[in-house]
Amino acid sequence: MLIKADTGRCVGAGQCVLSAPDIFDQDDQAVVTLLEREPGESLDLVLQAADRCPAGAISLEDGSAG
Amino acid sequence: MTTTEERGLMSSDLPFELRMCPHLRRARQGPAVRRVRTPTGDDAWLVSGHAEIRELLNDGRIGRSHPAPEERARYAGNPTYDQVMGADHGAADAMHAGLRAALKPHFTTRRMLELRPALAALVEARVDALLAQGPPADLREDFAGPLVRQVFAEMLGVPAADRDRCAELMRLGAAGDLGGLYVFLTELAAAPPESSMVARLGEAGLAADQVVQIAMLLQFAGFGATVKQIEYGFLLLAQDRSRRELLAADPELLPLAVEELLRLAGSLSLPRYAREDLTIGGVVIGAGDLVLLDLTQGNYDSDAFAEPTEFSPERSPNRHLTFGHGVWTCLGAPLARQVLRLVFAALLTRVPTLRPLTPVGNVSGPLSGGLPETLLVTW
Repeated sequence: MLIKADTGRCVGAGQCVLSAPDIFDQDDQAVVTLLEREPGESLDLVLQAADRCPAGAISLEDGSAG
Repeated sequence: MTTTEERGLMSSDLPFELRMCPHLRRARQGPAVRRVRTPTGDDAWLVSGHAEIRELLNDGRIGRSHPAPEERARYAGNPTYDQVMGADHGAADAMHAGLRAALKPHFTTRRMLELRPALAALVEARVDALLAQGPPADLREDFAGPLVRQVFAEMLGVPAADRDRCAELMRLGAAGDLGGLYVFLTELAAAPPESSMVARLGEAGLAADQVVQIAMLLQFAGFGATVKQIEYGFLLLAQDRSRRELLAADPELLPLAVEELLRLAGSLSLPRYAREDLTIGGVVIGAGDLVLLDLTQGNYDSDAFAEPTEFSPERSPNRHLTFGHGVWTCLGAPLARQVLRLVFAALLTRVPTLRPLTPVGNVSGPLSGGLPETLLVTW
């Protein structure tokens, strides 16, 4: 499973970093960046981040970072 | 002909007692989008459905501009609240996007987490002061107000030696005397960029007077809301001793509890204008019409929240609209969340018997969200 973060939709609210600081970060314009591509052990936190994102910018899709 | 309700109240207009007391409060009733008359006597669409509000906050067909500003319907009859960003939609959107772009880097969650120790120290110092002063106290004037002003001074990057002066100028500013605050912020903006957030905003390409205006706007936008959330949260928790003890014993429960406080407290609602005809909730809204997005009623929508009038500190997920949604998400939300968590952690553990001294009456004006003028407490 791969984490997808849509930087075009991101509004910089930072809810993802609060939910899963080991997975998400924000660049100097507060736009979401990914520290990890796969949720691994943090799946619950990633799902929480996706749920709390006010812009709906975070999702999970099938695939692997291979 | 569409039926228009005589006087469409938004939930931020409801008297304080109605908003606070779960027995009197009703969940959202009636259609999610309906025609109302505003306090100024103009026609508007009141949107109170959670799904419809979220959809519209992500819809570029509504905004804060109006093609003929002089002819637009008004909500509050209050120049600040009824402000439009001009007649040109593109220019209004560009101004909004530019402002957000300039401010966003200063409100990242990382920065707020870095600020946490400093914020915690401010909260502890305010609790120390409250305890030293002794009961009774006014929760707003003796705790929430001074604390939030100190938080703003910290966030704006005011040097430690000038913080008390800055906080006092903010207090005077809120009371209508803006001169001192203006001069203070102008000097702050002119200092070297590394000295403060305000100075760095200038470095990002904003004109000095713009920087000062933004700093003042941030402070006024965030101050009332944060003080209000502290007061609502305190009053909600005051009703339930077992919940207070539970939260005091396990700080891990606080983040969810704070979201629930935010949901019930709600927010001022957002006036917007339709830029073209659009259909929402089965209703056609005409171009130019005033659209009132009632964030608080959206938080009480039983289609979105089970038993919405109940205070359920463990509620999850909690997709409340108190900080808006989409491009209209509050930039200060990460800061507010940190402050509220710290405040309730400190009050619940250090002043466990804190309670309102007087029955809550004494309702203030509608745009304040109906909070009482003073909130006397004892412990």
